[in-house]
Amino acid sequence: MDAVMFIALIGIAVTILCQAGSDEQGDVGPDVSETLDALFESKIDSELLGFETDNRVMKISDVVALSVGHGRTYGLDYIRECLDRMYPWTTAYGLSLEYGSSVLDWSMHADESSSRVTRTYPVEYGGELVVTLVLYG
Amino acid sequence: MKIDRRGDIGFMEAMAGAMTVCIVMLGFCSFVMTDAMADHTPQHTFDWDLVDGICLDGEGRYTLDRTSELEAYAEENGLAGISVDISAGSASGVGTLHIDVGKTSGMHIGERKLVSVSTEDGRSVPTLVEVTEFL
Repeated sequence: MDAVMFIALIGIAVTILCQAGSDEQGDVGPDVSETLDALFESKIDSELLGFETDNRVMKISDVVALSVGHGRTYGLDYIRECLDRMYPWTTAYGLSLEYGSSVLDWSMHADESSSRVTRTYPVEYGGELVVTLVLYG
Repeated sequence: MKIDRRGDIGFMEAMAGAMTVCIVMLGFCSFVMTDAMADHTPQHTFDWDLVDGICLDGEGRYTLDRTSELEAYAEENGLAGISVDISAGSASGVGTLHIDVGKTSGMHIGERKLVSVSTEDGRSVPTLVEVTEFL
């Protein structure tokens, strides 16, 4: 009877250790946050992001927030190209952009994600752009 | 299991119980050690400090003066060669920089990182740095 109780306790301990190990696998690596920061905190000519009438140096997060809030596409092709080059395999990532009450996302699907990171960037003309990047596979 | 009137088990039954406990304990210790070793096994990653100092001039060209450091890194880590590609998005109008150190052919491992490279006129361009280590 004592041996049975001992075996049961060891089994519970192994289960707890396995559960703790699987939880750690969902941690987000620092490089994913760095990728988002390098992209959305960059400042480039607005002309490159689709602003053809008023070319000035603008933060990518500001331009993307404008697009999300007003249903435009400024900057979206640019960030999509950067992320496609960073994660080039098929269905590698999903991206969600939220500004105010507007949300735009692409390539988000139900597959199990390997990592997920959410970053918030203040927008020059008010509010915050919330960016969520999910990596799959 | 034969139990006498006082509830004591015999010698063989006691030995069987003790062996069972020892085997389970051995398995548990092996599991803990394997799990600990997996966490502490270092995974080789490229030292990204070696590509610090990427510059972008006014003519849209990348420069990086770290060839000697890359050669030293390749020698320390037993690599045949290292290849570095630095580029921005196609709409940026910025050229690509390619650096080769040593022998750049054969089996390789690739890593990439997105960084922001600042210019003198206040811009900061998202730049993809792709490093290929040749074994």
